[in-house]
Amino acid sequence: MQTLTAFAIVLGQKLVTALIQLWVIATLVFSIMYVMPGDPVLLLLGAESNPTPEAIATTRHQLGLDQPVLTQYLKWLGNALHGDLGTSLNGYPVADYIQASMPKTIELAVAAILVAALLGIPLGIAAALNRGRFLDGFLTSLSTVGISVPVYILGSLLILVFSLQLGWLPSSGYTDMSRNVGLHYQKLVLPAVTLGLGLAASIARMTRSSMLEILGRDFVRSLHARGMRERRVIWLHVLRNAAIPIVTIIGLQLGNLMGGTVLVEALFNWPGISTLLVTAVSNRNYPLVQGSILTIAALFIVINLCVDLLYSLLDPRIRRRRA
Amino acid sequence: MRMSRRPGVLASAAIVVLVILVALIGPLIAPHNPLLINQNAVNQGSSATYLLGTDEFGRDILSRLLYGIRPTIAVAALSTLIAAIGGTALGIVGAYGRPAIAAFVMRVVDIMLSFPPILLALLAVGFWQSGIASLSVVIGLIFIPHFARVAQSATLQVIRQEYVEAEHAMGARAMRVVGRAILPNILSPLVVQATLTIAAAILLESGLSFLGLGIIPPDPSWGQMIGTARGYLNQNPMYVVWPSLCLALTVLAINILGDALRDHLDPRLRQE
Amino acid sequence: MPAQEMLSIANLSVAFRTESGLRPVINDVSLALASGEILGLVGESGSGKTLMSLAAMGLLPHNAVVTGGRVTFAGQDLLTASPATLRALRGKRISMIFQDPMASLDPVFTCGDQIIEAIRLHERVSASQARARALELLETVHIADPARCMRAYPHELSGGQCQRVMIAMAVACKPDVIIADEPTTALDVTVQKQVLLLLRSLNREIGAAILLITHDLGVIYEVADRVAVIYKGDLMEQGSTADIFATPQSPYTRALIASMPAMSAPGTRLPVITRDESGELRSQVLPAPVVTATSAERAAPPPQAEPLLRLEKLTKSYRIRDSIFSAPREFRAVNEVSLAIPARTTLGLVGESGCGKSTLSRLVMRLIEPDSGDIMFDGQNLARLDHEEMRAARRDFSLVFQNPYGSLNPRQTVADLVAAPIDIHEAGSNRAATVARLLDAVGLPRTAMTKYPHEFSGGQRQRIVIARALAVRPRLLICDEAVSALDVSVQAQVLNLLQDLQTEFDLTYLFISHDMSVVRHVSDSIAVMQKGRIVEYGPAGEVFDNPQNPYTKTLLSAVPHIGAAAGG
Repeated sequence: MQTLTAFAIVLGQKLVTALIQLWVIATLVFSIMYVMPGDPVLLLLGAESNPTPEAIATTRHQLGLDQPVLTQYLKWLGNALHGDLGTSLNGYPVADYIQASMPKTIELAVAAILVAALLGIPLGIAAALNRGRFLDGFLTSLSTVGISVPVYILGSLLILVFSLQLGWLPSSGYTDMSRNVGLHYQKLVLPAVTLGLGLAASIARMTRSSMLEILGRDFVRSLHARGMRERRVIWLHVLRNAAIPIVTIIGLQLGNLMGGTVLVEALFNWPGISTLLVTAVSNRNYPLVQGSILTIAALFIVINLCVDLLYSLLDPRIRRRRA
Repeated sequence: MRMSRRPGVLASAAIVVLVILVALIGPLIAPHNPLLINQNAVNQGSSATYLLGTDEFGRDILSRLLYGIRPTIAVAALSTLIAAIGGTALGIVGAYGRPAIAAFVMRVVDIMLSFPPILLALLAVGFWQSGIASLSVVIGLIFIPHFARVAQSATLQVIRQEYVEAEHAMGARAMRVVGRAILPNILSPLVVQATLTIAAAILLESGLSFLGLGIIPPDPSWGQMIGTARGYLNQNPMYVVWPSLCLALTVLAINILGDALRDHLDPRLRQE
Repeated sequence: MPAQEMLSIANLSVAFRTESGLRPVINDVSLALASGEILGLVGESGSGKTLMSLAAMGLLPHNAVVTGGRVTFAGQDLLTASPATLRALRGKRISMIFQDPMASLDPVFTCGDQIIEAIRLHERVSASQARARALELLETVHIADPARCMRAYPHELSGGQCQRVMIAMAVACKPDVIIADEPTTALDVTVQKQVLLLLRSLNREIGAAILLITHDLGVIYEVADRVAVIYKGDLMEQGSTADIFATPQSPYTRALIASMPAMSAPGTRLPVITRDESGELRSQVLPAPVVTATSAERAAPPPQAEPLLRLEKLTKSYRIRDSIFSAPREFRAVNEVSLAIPARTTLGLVGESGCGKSTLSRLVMRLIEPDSGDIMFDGQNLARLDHEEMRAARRDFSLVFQNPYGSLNPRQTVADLVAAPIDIHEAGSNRAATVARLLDAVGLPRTAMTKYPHEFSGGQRQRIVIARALAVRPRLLICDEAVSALDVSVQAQVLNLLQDLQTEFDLTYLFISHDMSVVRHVSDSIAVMQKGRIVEYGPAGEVFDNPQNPYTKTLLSAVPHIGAAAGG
């Protein structure tokens, strides 16, 4: 009961922090329009076509750009709250683009995390338990390679080998589930593995060092002194303690993952939100840039919130402060 | 274990030295003009004339590699310098400054940290003219909060030490405490962070160039070469391999050195 | 009942594997633990005593190698036994209690679950039976609220309570032997006393033999039947507790006992351990170094005029929350404390951890800002000074910390460290000469100047700290647990040094400690602090011999007395 209340309060605090973060980011995103060079109206009308001043004024009015900045800001914020992210420069609602691309990015990210966790955690544990031996050295070197090789290099090599040389998997693109389920997943494999491997390397490193840190604690020695089996010491006590930093690290790595999707989506022509953003930036399609940045940031904040909560659930020292 | 005894560390040091050397004298040893187009030798494999083959315009890949290292190294070094100075200052303020200022600084740092670096970079370079200077500033700014976090947590640890309290008890001014007690004692994690930042900056710059948002063609850079080569995987698979190999080896060498440095500087690990 | 030999250590030698080969830490030590007895193993830091206990459990660290000998328990050599055999013995027939109880419990499981687990590791009982047993055990170890303790995580309990949980686990399977490695070192004196009594009574009740490892002779004197003394890996002697304290045979033991402040009259020089030319250890009272001319001119303290430092109702409170959902409440760390220290005298301030004594020392120097009250120093009210005036005023005070490892910046040379106050207050004038003179005064060689702190031992580092403290001739020295981290033989040297310097440098001391016997030895007057208040205050002799306050009486009764038996 007491635990539940405490947890509810922690939850409340984190939620408020997340909302503030979101608001700050929304404000920053809004200001993109004003700090970035280039007049969006000219871009919309096409600067080459030499639009008349009247045409510019009309469009400016249509876009609401002639109103005071504060009015625009409040209106923009209000609309964003309702899920209306404005209109892309080519006339379609930004929200439609995001609705179409967001799930694809999430699918890719989830698959990558699965690859990373399923590979990274066991390898990290194996390295820690074989500390100083060959396997440890081998896995540690491998993970250093893993975090050093940029995703697009890894991806290019995987394409070269698995699709161009061996012909096992399609090299790029996206097929909708409703069209062809098999092809859908075939096309998911390479990008997910590319994105997941680098992450697996850092998870393995962190798992290893957390395990070693916990193995060196006094209580591990006293568990042994109580006659406990090595297996039980490691799989129950050490792992349970190491889980706390490991979860945190995975959470922190999600930032890199979101960054990684930008490159991986570009490499594999995966029509996710990062591709949308890169295209929007290249075309200076401001409303689309704003919408996708806001969505990515919101997603990121929500993930961080989840990691924070998981963290406080795992660690009794945070869950229950000293009474 | 002394760091120099590990073969990987020695090899990494050699690679880093080589990379710096090439960045300095690359143009002197390049066999061709990296911008020289040869329509008669497009997408060729290795030959006596073109040791590593040619790209889609018939330009010499080796020469482009030797030139392409320069923007990468310049951006990495400059941005790390910016991040180190700015981040260390912010981090020390965030730990040792007046509580209200410190809290504000760290809150801002947290919010900046909640953005993936490449998204920030994408935004910035997407709208401004990109070049070595602007890329360095943008990437440097992006890594300031990472540095600030490291500096802040190290400073927090240091100011809990009694020798800092001893300085206060002796009547030392804040500048003396920072200069004599804090800075020398947070140097180790900062040096490690600097190596990691160099590697991260290289990855970020090459990632942007890969997307076509970094160094503007026709000037070569490794990331941009990989991005272009992606379109010719079928015709000339080695085109993507060479710049990839150079970039991956460089980052790997820096990371290995960073790890060795961390092990060496961390007294807890050194005892092992 | 004839005592039966339970655990025997025969000719044990252990060495550490280092880069330059094997470094021996235990040399050919033999010990036997008989059933039902408490054997105390005493040694200072670096004596190898903890390694002995780990060897006895087969828990030696990876870099330690047994170079000879046997550890026999129940007919088995524990050094060569299979892991399965060891597992069956550990926790069931031999159990162990460690120094830091909080760190020795798994932080993510409740104490109840950990005790239950300890029981079920060795006994086939149902979870509910084990739970009932665990509750019983917690009652046996006299924990305040056993039911709450079962549900509590280690961080929710105090150090003393955690140690009781550890003891409950250690006795869960009624072992034949309990090895206790510094079980009370991390605890307050009063708690220490209770834990020792608990160990004694458990020893009687369940008949387990206890190997009690400690650096504290007082603890040994209190509970041990027999004592073994170990020094740098060599066994010096063993015998019954009464014999050892009455007629110690080895010079080291003699010296060790003599170094204890409780063994000498207050204010006298303590005997220190020295080595003569033949390398033989002995204990002797060294004369104070020749007093310099300046201090010879100095007369005895003038008749009590205005005290050098006078505190008037000094108060500091913090706002704390008991838990995240309770409203913050006021916690008075220091509550209307009034004290006066006459010039050239020593005021001893005693109290247990958390009583506010360290906060008080920081308040005096305004390292922490007081809420209210006055700090009168030589006619000036420090509490009213502005930031810059206070900074300048700090040259008249110095603080000597508990931990000589933490209070010296590891990145500065000894010369820079000692000269720091000169750099701050006198722009470094006459730096080198002053540093040299200070090193002479604290008994360090001048070659120390270019070295770094890590090249010195704990006692030497404390000398560096003291040299720095004296650099700009302060008038008040605040010693916050200044000798608590030191071994008793080193402690004696540092206490002697502080005494010599008081005369030579004309110093007034505020001497803060949890150790009654040290405070008694150095102080002219004593203040006892409890929960932020001064509960008793008066001349040292009176407070010690005729305490009025019940808390002072508790504190004094908790101090192990090595009284008449040793005959000082």
